[in-house]
Amino acid sequence: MQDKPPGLIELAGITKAYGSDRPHAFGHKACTGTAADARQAAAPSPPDRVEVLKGVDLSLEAGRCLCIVGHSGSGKSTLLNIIGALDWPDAGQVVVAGQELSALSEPELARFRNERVGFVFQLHHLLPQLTVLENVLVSTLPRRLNAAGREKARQRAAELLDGVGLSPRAGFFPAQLSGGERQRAAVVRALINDPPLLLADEPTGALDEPSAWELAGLLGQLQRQRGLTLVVVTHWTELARTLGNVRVLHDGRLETGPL
Amino acid sequence: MRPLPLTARALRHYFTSHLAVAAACALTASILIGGLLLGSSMRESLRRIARRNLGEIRQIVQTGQRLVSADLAGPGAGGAALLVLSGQATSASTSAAASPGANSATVNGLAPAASNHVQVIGVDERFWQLFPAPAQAIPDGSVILNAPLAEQLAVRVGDDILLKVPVPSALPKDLVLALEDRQQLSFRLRVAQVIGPDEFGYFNQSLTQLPAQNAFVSRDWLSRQLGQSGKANTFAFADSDSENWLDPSLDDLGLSLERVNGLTGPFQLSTDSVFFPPATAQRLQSLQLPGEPARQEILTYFVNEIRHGQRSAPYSFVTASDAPASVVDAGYATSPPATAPAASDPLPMPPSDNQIVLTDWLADDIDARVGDEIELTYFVLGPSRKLEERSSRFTVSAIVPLAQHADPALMPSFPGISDAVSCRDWKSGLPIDTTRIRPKDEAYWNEHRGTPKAYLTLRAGRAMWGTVYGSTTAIRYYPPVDATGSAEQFSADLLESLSPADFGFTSRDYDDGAATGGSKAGEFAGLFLGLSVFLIVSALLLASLVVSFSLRSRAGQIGLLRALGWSRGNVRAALMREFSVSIVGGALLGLAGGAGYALLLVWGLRTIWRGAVHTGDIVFAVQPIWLAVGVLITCALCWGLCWLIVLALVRKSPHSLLAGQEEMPRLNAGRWSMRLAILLAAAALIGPEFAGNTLDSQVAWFGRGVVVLLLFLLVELARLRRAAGKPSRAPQRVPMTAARRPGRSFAIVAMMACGCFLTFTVAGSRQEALSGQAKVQATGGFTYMATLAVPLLSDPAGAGPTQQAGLTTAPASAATSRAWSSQTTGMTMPPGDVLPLRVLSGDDASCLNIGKVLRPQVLGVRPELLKQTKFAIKQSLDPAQGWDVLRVPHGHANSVTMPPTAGTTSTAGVAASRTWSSQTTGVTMPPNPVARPPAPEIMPPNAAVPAIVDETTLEWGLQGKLGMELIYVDEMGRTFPIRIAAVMADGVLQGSLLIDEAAFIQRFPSQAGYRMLLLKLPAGAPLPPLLGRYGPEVVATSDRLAQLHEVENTYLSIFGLLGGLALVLGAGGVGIVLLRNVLERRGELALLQAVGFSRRRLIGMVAREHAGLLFAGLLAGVVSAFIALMPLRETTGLGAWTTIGLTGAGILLVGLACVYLAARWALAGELLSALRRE
Repeated sequence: MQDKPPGLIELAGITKAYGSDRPHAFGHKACTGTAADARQAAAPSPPDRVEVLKGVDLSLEAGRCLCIVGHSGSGKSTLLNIIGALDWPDAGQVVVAGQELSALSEPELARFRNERVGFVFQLHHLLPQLTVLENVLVSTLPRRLNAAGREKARQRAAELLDGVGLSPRAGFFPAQLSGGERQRAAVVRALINDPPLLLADEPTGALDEPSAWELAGLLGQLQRQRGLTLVVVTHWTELARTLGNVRVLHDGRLETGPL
Repeated sequence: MRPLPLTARALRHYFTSHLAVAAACALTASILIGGLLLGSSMRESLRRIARRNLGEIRQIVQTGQRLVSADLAGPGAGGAALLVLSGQATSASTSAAASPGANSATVNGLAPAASNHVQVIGVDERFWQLFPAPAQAIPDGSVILNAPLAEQLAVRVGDDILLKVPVPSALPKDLVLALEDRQQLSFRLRVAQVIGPDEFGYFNQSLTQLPAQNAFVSRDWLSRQLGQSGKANTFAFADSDSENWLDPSLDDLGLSLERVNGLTGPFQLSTDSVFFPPATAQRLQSLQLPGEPARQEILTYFVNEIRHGQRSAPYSFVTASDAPASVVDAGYATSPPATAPAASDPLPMPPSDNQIVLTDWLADDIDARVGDEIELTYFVLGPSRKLEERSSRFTVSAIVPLAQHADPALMPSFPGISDAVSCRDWKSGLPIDTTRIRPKDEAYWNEHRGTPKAYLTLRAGRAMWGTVYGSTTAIRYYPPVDATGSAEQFSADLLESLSPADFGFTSRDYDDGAATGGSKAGEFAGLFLGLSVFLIVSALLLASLVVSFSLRSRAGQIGLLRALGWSRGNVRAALMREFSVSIVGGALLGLAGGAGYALLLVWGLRTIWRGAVHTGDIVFAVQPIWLAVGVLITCALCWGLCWLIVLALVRKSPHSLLAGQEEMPRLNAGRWSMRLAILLAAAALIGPEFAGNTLDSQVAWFGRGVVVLLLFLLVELARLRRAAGKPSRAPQRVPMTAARRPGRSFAIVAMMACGCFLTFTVAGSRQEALSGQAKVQATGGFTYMATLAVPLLSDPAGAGPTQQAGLTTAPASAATSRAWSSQTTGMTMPPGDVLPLRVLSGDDASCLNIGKVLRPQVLGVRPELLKQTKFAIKQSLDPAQGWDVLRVPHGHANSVTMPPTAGTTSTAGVAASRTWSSQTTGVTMPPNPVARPPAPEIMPPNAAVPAIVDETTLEWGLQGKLGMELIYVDEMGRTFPIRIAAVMADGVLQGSLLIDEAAFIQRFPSQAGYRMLLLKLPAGAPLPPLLGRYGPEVVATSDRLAQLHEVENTYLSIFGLLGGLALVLGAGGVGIVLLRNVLERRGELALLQAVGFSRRRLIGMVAREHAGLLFAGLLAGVVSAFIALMPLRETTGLGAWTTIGLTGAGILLVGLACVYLAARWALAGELLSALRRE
């Protein structure tokens, strides 16, 4: 019997609580998923401790799409942040694109986020002082590109913006865009470094319905066209149904349907 | 896309935030640069003052009390010869109008138009060439005054003044041998001109900013009036190293050389001061001269009587000498000469110390034979013109023919005796009864002058007649028998081997560092920076608040960048690039602000704060280096602060930054603060007790105050942090922002607390009119302080010489010992009512002088008199010693062996050796008791002299600590350290070093008499009438204290003002924090408004919350300041407490008003729109 090939995302026994006074962080190599971590996680909890993730296991193959739904406060965003190395679990193992995140140093984590992951947040988080094009290119700055590389990145940004219909708005500041346009710009920014994994946290949460459908379509299209692995957290069931492969986060664990 | 455009975009987009950061940095830079520019201004001011005082002079050589040929500063030397004397001046019109009692002293000066701090300067045309000013011709009988003196005397050109000057004398005036009627001279002079600083009128050898009172006269005229035509005592040169150009003759050094008995006799070196100073004698003895002649030290003394049984000879000279080794080896001195000695033979000398050789003239006169016992009666000389008559007995060992030993050259130049034609013309300071002089004595004087009639050993002579001023009257050099050489050649050989410094010539260089005040100006800048430190800290706190708010508002962006793969380093670099621009911009803006601030400070020092510097000559000066330093330090401080804030922010997790979440304080966050607070409380209570005597009580209580302040702040921090980590116990109450933002709230409390603490402690430290024990300690219990123009040569502290000696000496026979001091004192007071002080002028090290202090004034005082005062020692290297810490360490005194003493009654023939303190030898002839030890040998020349100084002088003037040493040069050119052995409480003696009078006399024998007196007189009692003879300037000690405290109080005023400005910044910080808090909570407040809270209630709620912080800071500051001021509760006057109360109330009221207005402004407008935006 052959071993199942590892997925792009492999989560095992992820726990996370808030109110804990134990510092854990990626980049500090504090979370190793060892027995000691488990014991620490199982230690008596202080009264203000709220456990949001209670042993999440997940395996997602490359090029697949995953929609995580759940009620407010169920830990959807926390789980997404842990996958994207923006947050850290109290215990458990996170392997993304073959990399054990707890083993990475802070600079390695930064490079991981820059090269392997694209983020789309509920709020666009565009830098108000930069134009749309510049916002897209912000993600390329840590890579210290030479002139040719910068020119190439600029062309790619232009192409991507063209792909989402924002070419005419490339020189505009975020304040001059509509909500849908800002979010599309945010999607482009997430794709500028051509990451294999796109994480979207309530991407339609701040949009009206037409804009939301438009964005949902865009995400689905991009996932299919580029073979992206897409993880979307949403409480909008219509979007989840559209994208498929829905999991429900309930009582700190990831369960399969029903919606 | 590159990083720099990103920075530029951010700067443009967040322009307002960066402007605020730049403004805060500019404020910091302004304060810092202002302080540094004040330093450069002080440096330039001191340079100008030095130039005003010294012109082009770079070196000044002084010859002490000795006047030398003015030609020493001839054209080759390129300097000017001056005759500088300190004198007393009075307006002639005032003097004429005054009653016959005008000589009597009045408090606060002799007369309204008089000064006894006048520098009388005899000059010639070369003096004026040392200053770029036209030469002034001074006719004989005229005087040029400088403006301060003319103003003091209220005279103009054409008016007459009376000038009194002391007559310089090579012979120490402390010795009764110096004639009292030649102590001072008076002149009536016409004011020819009044000159200002631009005409070299402010010439002063000291670098003080206080203008000297100068009277310029013709040097030729003045030297003629003093009877020493063509002489000078000060040489000024435009170049350093000019001392080597001085080429004094033996005459300039007060020496005379003659060859005894024609061309074959020894060379005899004599001095015009009767005795060679001990160090000079030692130097002359140790000279390596060509031919290595044998040396013989001689002490010839004037004895009152030589008695054998019922017969006696009055007033004779007796010589004591040692034998040159070469002659002693030949066996000459061991027995009386069998044959007539040759002229070149040494002097006759008895074989032992208790024997005497008589001339046949004397033996016949008193009918003495070999083996008879004769008695010598003589005066013993002591300082303060003390005189005591004593007797000693010797056995005649030999009788030599006078014809063979008629050697009048042995008689020293006793003033009033040696130059007298007949015995009846003797006019000595010694009390001579001329009725005892017989015709045969007159005949002897006419034929043999002062030829000695008897000879003793040198040790016996010194034991009887030696003084601290010397015990050698001549030195004879015996050249080899076959040597030939003239006196001129020998004189040249001597001069070749001697240095002017050996004879008390001192030089002072005024290099650029000294001329510009050197480090003193830097210290002044440091002082102002120190005073401004809280202001700078407040400005930095303000800057940090602004930077922090600006960054926190961009926390989401930072989180985004981190999420996009920017490393922490990338984000930090981007942010620091951005903030660096605003920091550097702000620091550059601070250049203008700093210049303005410095201008204001300079203006303040010239006007309202003039009391701190006592001069209006402070100028504003900019040195670019300090601008650069200020900008760089500001940038470094602000940049560091910004770095810390960025570092703390970037460390947070990206998701919390993106979510805009504040990480909740941990539950145990306040525990460490509380533990530390408990430790501090314990330290405040018992810490100073453990430190014991090593901590001054004022410092200990200030330390307690600081600890209590920290305690308050830690408790407050713990309270805020614990409140932040817990839900409110009263759910019905609105959660407080103060608790939600503990760091921010703590910053407010800390700023207010520190500001209040400093402001209150400064206000409470003002020294107002002292009272009670503090005043007694500051004045020593004395009511007046008198500085005398003419030194008081006799001891005014009425106690017998042996009592005052304070040492254990063998008791003198009551029948043969008689004190004569009462005959010459003229003014005596009980010892506890007067403290006489000898004065060696020097730099004023008190807080009145901002110039460089090289060698502070030294006061000589007797420790036993200090014990009777109320002055208090605060710190000492040896607390058990009390005032005796001033005495030379016992190790030196006890280890010195006195020469064996002569004696014949009970211990005849016993060549005993005993130490100074021994009382058990049974020797009947005591050593000289009024010469008062340490005798010349007792204190090694390089031994450290213990000194006491007041704490202000030590801290500010000398900037040293207990145990520090200052190097002085004594009158023989030997360097020696003065070690600060104890510190006394601040008081009227501020600015001077107090040393033991005995050490003073040994080091500075020519500084005769007492020039300063502290007097204790009952209220309303007149000053001693005889005091008026000495030109006293009398000030009440309370006035003197007030003058000194004016400086301190002015600094405190400045400090208080700066503290107040810091509080303004603190209040500004509260306002900024409040606005920020409200802006952050607008949504929340809008919600409260939506659910029914009125705007008025919301304003009240916000204002109350921040007023609580204000009040907490104020309370912490007040309580800790009160504790710090505990030891000053006696000296802190009602005015200071009123100031504290009013300041506290003012701070509270203004703070509350600021909070209320800020709350109103922050909550103005449409709150509900904020809710809609949410």
